[in-house]
Amino acid sequence: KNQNQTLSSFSFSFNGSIDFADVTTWSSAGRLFQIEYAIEAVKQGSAAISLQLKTHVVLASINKANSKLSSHQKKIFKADDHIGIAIAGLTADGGFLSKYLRSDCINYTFTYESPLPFGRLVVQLADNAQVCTQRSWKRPYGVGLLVAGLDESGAHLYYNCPSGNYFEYQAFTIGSRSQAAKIYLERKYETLMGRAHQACTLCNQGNTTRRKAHKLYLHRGCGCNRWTFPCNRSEYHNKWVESFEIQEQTAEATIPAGDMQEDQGQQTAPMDI
Amino acid sequence: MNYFEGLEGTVSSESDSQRTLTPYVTGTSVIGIKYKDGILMTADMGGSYGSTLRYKGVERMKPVGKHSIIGASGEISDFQEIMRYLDELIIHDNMWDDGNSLGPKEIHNYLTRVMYNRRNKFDPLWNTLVLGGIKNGQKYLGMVSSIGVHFEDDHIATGFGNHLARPILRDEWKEDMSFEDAVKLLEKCMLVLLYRDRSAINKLQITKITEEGATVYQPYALKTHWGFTAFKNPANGGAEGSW
Repeated sequence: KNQNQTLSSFSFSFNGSIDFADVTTWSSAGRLFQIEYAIEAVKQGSAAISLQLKTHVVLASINKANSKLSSHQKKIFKADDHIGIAIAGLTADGGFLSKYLRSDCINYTFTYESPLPFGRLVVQLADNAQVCTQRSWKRPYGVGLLVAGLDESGAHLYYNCPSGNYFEYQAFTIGSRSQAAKIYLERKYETLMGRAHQACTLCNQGNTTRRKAHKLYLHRGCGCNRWTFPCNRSEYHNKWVESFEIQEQTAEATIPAGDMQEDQGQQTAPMDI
Repeated sequence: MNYFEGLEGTVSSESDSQRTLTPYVTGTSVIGIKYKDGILMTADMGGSYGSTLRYKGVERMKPVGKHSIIGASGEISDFQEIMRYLDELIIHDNMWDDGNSLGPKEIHNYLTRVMYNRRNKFDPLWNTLVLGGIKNGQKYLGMVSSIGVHFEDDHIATGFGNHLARPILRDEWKEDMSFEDAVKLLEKCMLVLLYRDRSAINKLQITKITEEGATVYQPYALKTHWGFTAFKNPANGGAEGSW
């Protein structure tokens, strides 16, 4: 239903020409509406947030469930040991793209016995998305991707847009009602450098009001060339996240030593959020 | 050693003229060792046309990218083909211009894939390649053969070097040798090969790769000693046998 409302709200420069029939057809104002609608689809999806620190990248997402009885939508995917992505928008397109990313990564590793420098993966993905905007029989992907990973030059975060553009970010949020989180990140980002646990809390803070309604999945990419996903069970996560909220000094103790890798010699100070 | 003998009738005749069945101009051994600052590799400059030592200025070692060097024994034209593949690979890697570069490990594995795929098509590249390099302080030395056999080690030798040089290297190679010691060790191996390998010539090159880059040194000759009575006067009690 949201899609239909969007379509009509975008027709203010509508002049009777076919501006939402083909991606390849320009509007008279020099716009490709299909791409803009695809970007709108991303904005309608549930939120995904990401933060890049010196040695870690953090991904967080709000996963919706269709009904009380159904499972929650999976929005964070592992593309390789050193690359993970979070999506917002048409999750079916997201699953398809993550399959493509995984196969690119593994083909590179097969030939070169070494992890794919993931900046190149992002460019290939963007080129792929651009192709979909210039073929009459294709439509743009309806999903925005936050690609997080590690390579020789450290930890990086990229955002891949349905238009085929990609940008590197230090922190970014996509999806519905992520604006509050974005503003929060812009304010608080400098104070966070090097403190990955607090960063996770920050991601959570940006979505505080809705945390109870949906489950929050937090995943951290660690600086040791391994993408480690902590325990996937949401109850565990909610407990961990809540413990940060209550500002307990012993928040670290709730994390099993094997699952997560620590910042180098980082002591968690009392939260001053 | 000739794994591809007797193949003439086994694959379709249209493709026979395209496949390498025997080598024509070949290079002999290549020796590579790890030392303190990186890798040292040595090979002579001979290209044999069967039993004739026809070409005496063949460079059988080349730098690859910023971090590696490659040495080849076997068919020289196939080595030139491999260099074209590697040039293309390095150029595409450089065009990304993103701070990432292919290291020796990646190139070794790429070559392994190339050699193995050709072997599967019964159209091998008739070479044994030595790939060495250093990246971010990590030294790497490996070998790939024409049938795709590949491995890494602290010291590598191809061809006759396997039989004559490796025993010396096993006894006398140490971790973190200085440049001078490493060169002496290589020269010792090359001297044995010069005396005993009929395809070896007395014009050898040394190539080194360190974090600063690759250096291919000018060719030079080893001092040999032939002043044995067995040579000077074989008839009068000098030469009892070939040993």
